[in-house]
Amino acid sequence: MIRIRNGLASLVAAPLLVGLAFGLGACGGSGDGDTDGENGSAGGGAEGGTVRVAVCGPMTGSAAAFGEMIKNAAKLMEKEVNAAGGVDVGGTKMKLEAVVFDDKGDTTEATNVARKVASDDSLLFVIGHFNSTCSNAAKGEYNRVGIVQFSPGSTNVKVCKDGPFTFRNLYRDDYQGQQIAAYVKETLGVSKVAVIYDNDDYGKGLMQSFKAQAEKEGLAVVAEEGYLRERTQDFKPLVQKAKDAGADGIFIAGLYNEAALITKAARQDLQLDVPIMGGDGVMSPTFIKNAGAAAEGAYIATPFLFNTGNDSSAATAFMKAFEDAYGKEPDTWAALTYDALGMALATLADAGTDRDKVRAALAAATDEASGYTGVTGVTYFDAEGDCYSKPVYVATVKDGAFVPAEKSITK
Amino acid sequence: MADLLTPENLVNALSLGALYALIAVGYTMVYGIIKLINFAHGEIYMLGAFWALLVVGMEQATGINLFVAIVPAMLLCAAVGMTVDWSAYLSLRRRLPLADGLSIGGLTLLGVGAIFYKLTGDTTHAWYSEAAHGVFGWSIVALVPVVMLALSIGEKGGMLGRSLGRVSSDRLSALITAIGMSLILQTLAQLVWGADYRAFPQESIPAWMNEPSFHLGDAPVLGKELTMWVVALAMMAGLHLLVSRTKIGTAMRACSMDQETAALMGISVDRVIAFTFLIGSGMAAVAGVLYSVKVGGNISFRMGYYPGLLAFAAAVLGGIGNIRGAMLGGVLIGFLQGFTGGTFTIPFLVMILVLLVLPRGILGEPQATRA
Repeated sequence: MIRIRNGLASLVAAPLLVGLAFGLGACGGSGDGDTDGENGSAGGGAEGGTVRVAVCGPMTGSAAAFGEMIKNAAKLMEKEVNAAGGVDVGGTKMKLEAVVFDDKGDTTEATNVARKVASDDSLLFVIGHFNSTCSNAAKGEYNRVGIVQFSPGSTNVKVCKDGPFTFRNLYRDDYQGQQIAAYVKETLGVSKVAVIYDNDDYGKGLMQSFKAQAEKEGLAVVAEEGYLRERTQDFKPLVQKAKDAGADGIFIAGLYNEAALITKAARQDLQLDVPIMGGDGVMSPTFIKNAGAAAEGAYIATPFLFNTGNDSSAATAFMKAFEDAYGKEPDTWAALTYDALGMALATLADAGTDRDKVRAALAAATDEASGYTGVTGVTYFDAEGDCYSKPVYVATVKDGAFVPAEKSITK
Repeated sequence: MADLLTPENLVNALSLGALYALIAVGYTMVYGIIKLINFAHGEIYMLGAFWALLVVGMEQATGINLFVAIVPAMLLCAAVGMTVDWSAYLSLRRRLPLADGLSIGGLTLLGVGAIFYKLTGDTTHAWYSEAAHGVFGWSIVALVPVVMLALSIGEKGGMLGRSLGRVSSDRLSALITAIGMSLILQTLAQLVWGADYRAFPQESIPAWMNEPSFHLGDAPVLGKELTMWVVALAMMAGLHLLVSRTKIGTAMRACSMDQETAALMGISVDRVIAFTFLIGSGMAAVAGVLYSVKVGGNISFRMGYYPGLLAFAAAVLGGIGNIRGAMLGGVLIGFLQGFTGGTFTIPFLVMILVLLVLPRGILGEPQATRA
């Protein structure tokens, strides 16, 4: 039998309860549970007057800040489309339901999600995944079953290769790495660069293309330091190696949280005041929030940028609608998700509820005229499903916000 | 090799050593008394950072100094540690027959489910793939009633447990409960605070923490690093005095030698155990806060996992159950990792090699003293 020692037990329980209440009160709403799409009404299908599409991304885990933006953008489009009477599906207006799936930024989870989504016949296409590793892992299943996988965030070179059903609406890492290397050399005036990279598909791919171009540009790569997300917690030793190697610039091929730690270690701990540039994985407000003052003056490459001074009217309208709905500015990934979903939905007018026809309609967008014009510009594809129609923008951090760099397009 | 023995690496090694030592004593003290590896200890470390973050401001800085925030973080973590003991482990110490059976059953189911889940990872639409998902999910669900039942059932020894022979049944169920506790605390933290990474606001950290306080060779030692070393040393010294000089320390040692005799001598064993959780959890909280400051953030619901794992290795290396062993092991693991640029392989490799020669760890006591 358990005998509760009264004095001790209440002594323990009281502060704990207070603590929990405090915790819940302080950040209610930050963890919302709308992430598992499997709870959506299955089999409702298009015939019930509703058209269902899957939105897959890292709703939790080490890339969750991206996932939140992706989900919010998709839900915004869902709201807007339904408010306007629905989606045109083969001539009839249908209600849109964007079902969100969480891949946790993890390959195993992404495969599970892909299996679940592909086998659910009521889902017409997939917007996702985000992490290149996840898109690569899920690709096989989508292409085997035959459902469009349209990524608004995966930049790894291999993502669209050998996958007729796989598309993306942003550049590839070989292009990004090339442009960044040129930018670091020419615009930032760096001659000896240290590369700190995430040891996954995205980080390694970007690091390699950066290195290849750096060689051509005569930019010396003096240190190459890989790390593992979650496992590597202290980045000071890595930055130390960069400093010891005499680097006069740092390039980070990784995600925002680690980039914040690297930037802090360089600026605060080691007083290394050299230009720091990150790949598009760093493009998240969480980077600025976590790095604080250290983030000031960092450069970040991105497939799209708001507030460039000549934003399109679509971009301005999206920005306003997003801010009204969620109380914060959208980021690049929200914009790309919004466009990917918009483009795929537009195909339904002719394709109806046929998954193959959705693919054919997307694949038919091969030039500016047949492409889709959205928030992030025009999207059209090459034979692989890759998108070459967008430049690499460069943002910098000023007064705690992303603003266009002095030279904001690398080309 | 020579390029690893730099003063910069020494600074990192000392910081890591302080971190692991602070966590490892928590593992080892609990093991010393109730022979339980408290896998939820890494989560206490994580909660320490979160409590402090709540005090200094999660979204907007409250302006409270981080050193002030350490105090409520310690108190809350001590409370959580004691609650974990009181809610999950206390009843298991009373040897519960049904709980044994269910936990072993649950574990088997979990194992089978996990194997199926892995094996069928690439096949689709097959009935066994669906079944594996089902089994895996349900076996996790099955662990919940195990803990619940463990809380509410009788006093006699378990039959299934006895038939297992070498592994004592109550220790096995306690171990599973500890893993469950760890998952529960992680999941709760994720539900409450979300999955994103966070950092302490700049305003809460005194400026001198990010400035060099002195130089070791030509490597600057930052204020936050020096703080870690000093705090860890002071806490270790305090713990040593507590265990060797005070009445409660004597009671702790008595309990670790022989609980039944200690109880006969009038020691309230459960209170001593609760006190042990309190001390260990408080130290883990301090480690959580200081290390988060040192690395510049990284506060998330998963943050306790890897430091917990390495601190556990440190406790085993030093001789689990021995407090001085945990301190030594912590510093050793910290040095092994610090001087190899933060790898995981070398510390674990060395731990295995040491255990091959000294199976009870460096300062481990011979088993024969226990009947």
